[in-house]
Amino acid sequence: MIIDFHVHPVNVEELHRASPDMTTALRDVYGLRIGLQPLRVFVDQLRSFGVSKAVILGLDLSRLYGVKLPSNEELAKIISEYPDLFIGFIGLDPLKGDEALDEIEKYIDKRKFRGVKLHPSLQGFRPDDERVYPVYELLENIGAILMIHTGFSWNTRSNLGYSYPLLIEPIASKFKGLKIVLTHMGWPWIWESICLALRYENVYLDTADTFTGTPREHLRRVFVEILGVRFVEAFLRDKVLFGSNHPRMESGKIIEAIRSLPIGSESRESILGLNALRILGGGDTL
Amino acid sequence: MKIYGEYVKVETRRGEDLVDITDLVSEIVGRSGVSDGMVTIYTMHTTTGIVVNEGEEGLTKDIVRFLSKLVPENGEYMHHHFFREDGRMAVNAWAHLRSILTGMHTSLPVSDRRIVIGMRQRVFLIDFDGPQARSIYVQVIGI
Repeated sequence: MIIDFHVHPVNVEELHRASPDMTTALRDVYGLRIGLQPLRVFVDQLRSFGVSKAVILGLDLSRLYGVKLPSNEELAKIISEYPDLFIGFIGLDPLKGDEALDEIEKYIDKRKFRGVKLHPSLQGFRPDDERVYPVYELLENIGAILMIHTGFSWNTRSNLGYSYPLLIEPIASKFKGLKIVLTHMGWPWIWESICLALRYENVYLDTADTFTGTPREHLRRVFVEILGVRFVEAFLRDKVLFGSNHPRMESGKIIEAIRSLPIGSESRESILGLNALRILGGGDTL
Repeated sequence: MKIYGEYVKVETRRGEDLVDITDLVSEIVGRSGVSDGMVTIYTMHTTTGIVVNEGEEGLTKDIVRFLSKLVPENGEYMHHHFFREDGRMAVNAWAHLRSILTGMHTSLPVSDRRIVIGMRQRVFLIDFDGPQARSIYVQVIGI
């Protein structure tokens, strides 16, 4: 089973038709110029790559930029059309206080919606800001997952200082029952991310996107040249989740890159889907 | 002289996919009002191609495999770097190069409101980096 843990439905044509502001925001705020695709084709793309489940992410940029990419309501519509394929992680602005908490209670049902995606560097907050803690606490209490952007971004609107992985340590330490996924393996702060994943049972890493070449080159650099196969097999096989950042980087290209790694088949299957299945709760509810 | 054109969306289904668009082109020629002249089929994308060849299933696979051998995915391509205008890494030089080899358009004669095409000839859109909804432009010129 292949589960893509990191998909942004930002180029779905129907969303842009309903909210024309999204087209400008996609380019000028999110920093992505890409062809729009009908939802049906977006789904066909993922399925043609062999993806069985995809975690689609919301992003609330309304406080700074007046836009959501996309809104949770739009995510819900997409999921309702393809409930066998999509699982949602809602977007919210944790600095909006009760409104953010209400959004969690409204949407997260452990079926269609399993977690929250936060992007501190683009949303303009420090992840260790104690004003955000009520969000972490609620997520922990209801057994939801926190996916949080760490590492590099080409987007010059984002504040790289807020995406430093070690800023997550107080959260991982205080909310031990909260499963936390650090995106992009925190690249280029890979070892910092790995420190957290090794030290805290509740911290995981995703493989999303490529920064130093093609996906095949990038993942080889990370897993083989920087970390080493033996280390990956012994320490990280249960901690890494396949994520692509589709459509900024197509899901199929990251899958092919993971398959090309000289790691054992059990580790490969764990990264491609079994780890995600485990932290999402697995079983027939998935 | 008449000039008639239509933009058409074609959805491809796989990473590398040949889609037979012959009937689509014939329909456009039929409603163009042009009796005799020429039709040009042009793809709007730099990772796709337009070719005329036989639609036999094995051959369509051979076309994809042959082009993949000529331009392998794992080469040292200068194109593979961050593309600031797009906000993403460019990682598909091979698809662009295969597109150059096939060409991005073809033209067929039109006679008596029909395309002139051989018994075994079909017009294909080839997607080298799909699946995607692709745009083509079909223009009919004549009298």
